[in-house]
This record gives sequence, C-alpha cells and structure tokens, in this order.
Amino acid sequence: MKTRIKELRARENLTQVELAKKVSVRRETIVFLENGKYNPSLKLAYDISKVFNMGIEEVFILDNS
Amino acid sequence: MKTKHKTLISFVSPALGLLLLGFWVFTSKRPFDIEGYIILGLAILAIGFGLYFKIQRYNSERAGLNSNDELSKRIREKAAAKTFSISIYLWLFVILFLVGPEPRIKLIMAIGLMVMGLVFFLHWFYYSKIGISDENKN
Repeated sequence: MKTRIKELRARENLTQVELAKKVSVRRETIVFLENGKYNPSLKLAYDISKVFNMGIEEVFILDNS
Repeated sequence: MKTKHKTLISFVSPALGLLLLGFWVFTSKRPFDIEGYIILGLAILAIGFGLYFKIQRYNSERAGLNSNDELSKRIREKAAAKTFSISIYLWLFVILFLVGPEPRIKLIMAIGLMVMGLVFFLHWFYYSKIGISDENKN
C-alpha cells in the first residue's frame, strides 16, 4: 500500500504530531503509514482522508506489484 | 487527565520490580553463581523494556496524543500471540530436557501446557462466534 500522506501533509502545512492529534493516533503510527509499513483500518483511512478533504482511494493507493 | 493518572500509576509495576530486584540483590549471597547472573540479566532486561514502553506511553500522552491507538493494540496482540506459541515450545523443551525424572513436576507442566492450549482454542471459538467488533475502537 502506498500513501500520499507525506505529500498532502506538506501541502497542508501539517506536522506529523498535528495530524496524529487530528486522527487520534500516536506520531509513530503516522511515521509507519508514511513509510508504507502499516495498512490502516478502514476507519483510520477514512479519518485521514477526511482531514485532507479527499477520498480514501486518493490518499491510499493499492500497489499490486 | 484521567489517562495521565493511569499512565503514572502504570509506572508502579516496573518500579516495584526494580525495588524487589534491588532487595534480592542486596539480600543474596555474593558473588552470584552463573544462574544468579542469568536471572539478574533477564530481570534487568524485562524491567528495562517495561520502563521503555511506559516512558514512550507517557511522552505520547504528554504531547496530547492517543497512546493506545489501533497500531499499538495490533502490535501488542501480535506480540501476545507470538509469545503464546513460542511459550508452548519453551515449556515442552523444559519438560523434555531440563526437568529431572520427577513424574509429578512433569505431570503438572504437561497439564499446564494442555490448559494453555485449551484456553487458546476456547478464545478462538469465542471470537469466531461473536466476531471482533471493537478492534478499531480508540
């Protein structure tokens, strides 16, 4: 799973801690998500997408390769 | 605030462990034999890891973050599941190679192993019937 969290976070001028606070997770969870080392639950994916006002499929990209 | 208090209270267990370890070190005969050093090393490692996780949790909460989010729950569950399966092999090894010929101790350990397996299958059965609805609850 690839994510655009880092790019979108930079665009919105959000730090990892600020995003973590908005979606009620630890900063480490955001780090793992940005590095593609954790597949979030549907709820967390939805919450993160909502922060950026985007759809889930625009923030999280399924990498089949 | 309530969570912060809970986190502070959770420091009691490693502190108590440290206190007991200190008491054991000062009241034991020294120099330790090899078993004594192994126990001391294992205890320091366990307490050290315990403290490390508590400090991490405390720092997260101080920063206003949720220290018990879905990833930490999943990590904890995975660690518990791995520990369980490894512990079965560990106890089997202990029964076969470390416990002497005393049949009573072997019987107690064998019953303990079977109960561990039974508890595992009972949980499996329970969760397969009711499902896991609260997995992502924060």
